[in-house]
Amino acid sequence: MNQDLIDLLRDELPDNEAAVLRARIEREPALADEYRELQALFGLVHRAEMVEPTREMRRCVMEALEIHARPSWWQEMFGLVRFRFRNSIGFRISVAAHVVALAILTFFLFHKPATENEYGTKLVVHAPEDLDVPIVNPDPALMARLAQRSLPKRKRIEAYGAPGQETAIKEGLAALMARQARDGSFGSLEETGYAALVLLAEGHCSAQGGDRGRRIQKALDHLTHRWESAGETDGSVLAALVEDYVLSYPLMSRDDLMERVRIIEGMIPVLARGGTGAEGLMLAKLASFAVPEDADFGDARYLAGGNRRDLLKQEPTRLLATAALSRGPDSLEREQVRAWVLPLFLAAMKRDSGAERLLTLQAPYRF
Amino acid sequence: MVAFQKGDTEAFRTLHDRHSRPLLNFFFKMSYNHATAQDLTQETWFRILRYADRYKPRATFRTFMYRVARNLWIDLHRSRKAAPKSVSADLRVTEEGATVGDLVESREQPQQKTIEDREAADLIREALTSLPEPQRMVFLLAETQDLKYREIAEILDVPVGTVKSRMNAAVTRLRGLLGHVLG
Repeated sequence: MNQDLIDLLRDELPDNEAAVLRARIEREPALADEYRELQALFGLVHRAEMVEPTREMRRCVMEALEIHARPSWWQEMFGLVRFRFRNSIGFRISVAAHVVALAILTFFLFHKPATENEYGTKLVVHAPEDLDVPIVNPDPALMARLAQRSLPKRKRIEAYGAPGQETAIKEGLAALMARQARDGSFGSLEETGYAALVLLAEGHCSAQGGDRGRRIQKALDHLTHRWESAGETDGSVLAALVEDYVLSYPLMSRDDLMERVRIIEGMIPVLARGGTGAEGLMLAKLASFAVPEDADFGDARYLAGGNRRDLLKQEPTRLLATAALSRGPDSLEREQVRAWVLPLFLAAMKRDSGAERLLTLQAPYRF
Repeated sequence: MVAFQKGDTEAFRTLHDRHSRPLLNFFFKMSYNHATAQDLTQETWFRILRYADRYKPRATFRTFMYRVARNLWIDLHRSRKAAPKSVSADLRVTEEGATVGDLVESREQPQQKTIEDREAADLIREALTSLPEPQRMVFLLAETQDLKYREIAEILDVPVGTVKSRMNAAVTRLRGLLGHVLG
């Protein structure tokens, strides 16, 4: 069957092609016959039996339409609420009040209150840069609340006090720094050391949280008691030791914590003899070197190890380490080393000049 | 259809009233079974309701509708192949002795005006049912539903060339079967 004739009959040909084909049909009888047959065939099919949809069919479909168009329960609810909101002022006021109440509730649920403890509210102040701020009626109780020991190194300090006391705290900080610069210490244990120690521990405890924080607190309480029993009044030394040796280790296990506390406890009598201020601090730093139980003191690494790299640059420390190595046998008990090395170090620190220090050190090494 | 998608149920009623008859006749000429044609027609409208959100305005509603119809037809054939059922036409179903064949025949033959019309109708039916299904579908969509080749191609998801070739084959076969009545 000629496809073009089918397409012509179905009006599927472009106009120009249709015109050409019609012209051909007029000229060619065979083509015209074929076209007429096609027209008859399609006419016959068009006139073929037809069926009519019943009323029942329509009713079923319309019923389905009604079910489909029915809103869901939440759509009806939403529509109802929207209607009331648009038409009722009272409803609008009620919705607004609920929204405000929800906002307030959300605020208080998520709002973090300022940290507060028995020393007051946690405040944040900037460290005064001028060390020469005169001490104006320093309040010991206020100064006792200062948490940071190494004040000059830190710009932002967290302290505890009453709200609005930021200025007073700044002045207190300045006073503390002035005292350290003048006397070499922060003051007596009662004034600063103990409180600093507790607050250090507290700050660390609150950072650690939970059971670990309580263990640290308990350990520090114990150390402080021993320190006081040893007659030591300058708490800065113990505070430095605790901060460097205990609180600076974030992933401390219980056993590790107790071990460090035991080491510090063992050093307290020695440290007590070591005086206060810079000497005590240096001694505490040296004593805080971690010395393993199975340390071989023939290996300088054990004495030179730890995190106190700055101390290794200092001459007395290096000489002491050398002395320790040249003196004793390969393996020494740790307590023996401490009992023997530290007094030497202390003696060296008490000297005024480096030359005297060196000479003093050399003499004992010859025996 | 777009209006119905936006919630205008009256628009759906309009569509139904406009297209229900041609749709029913399409199924009737595909199956020559009145009950099947009615079931499929209704089911097509139910599916259009259910999947109205899938209609895209770039296609005409007729294309969308016949695509649903075609898929339904395919589903019907699959189910028939899976579980063919047959009832003997000679099975007596009434006390008077009428058989299934008698009842079915009386329903499927709408009233014809003349004996000649009835004969022509039988001939057309036989000719159409003798066409392979792909050709029959193309021919019916083209001639009884007045769809263009492009629309039929979209409905059946085949190239336009395939539609043309099936159309040609159907017309050729019908011409051969009905040539003697074309005069």
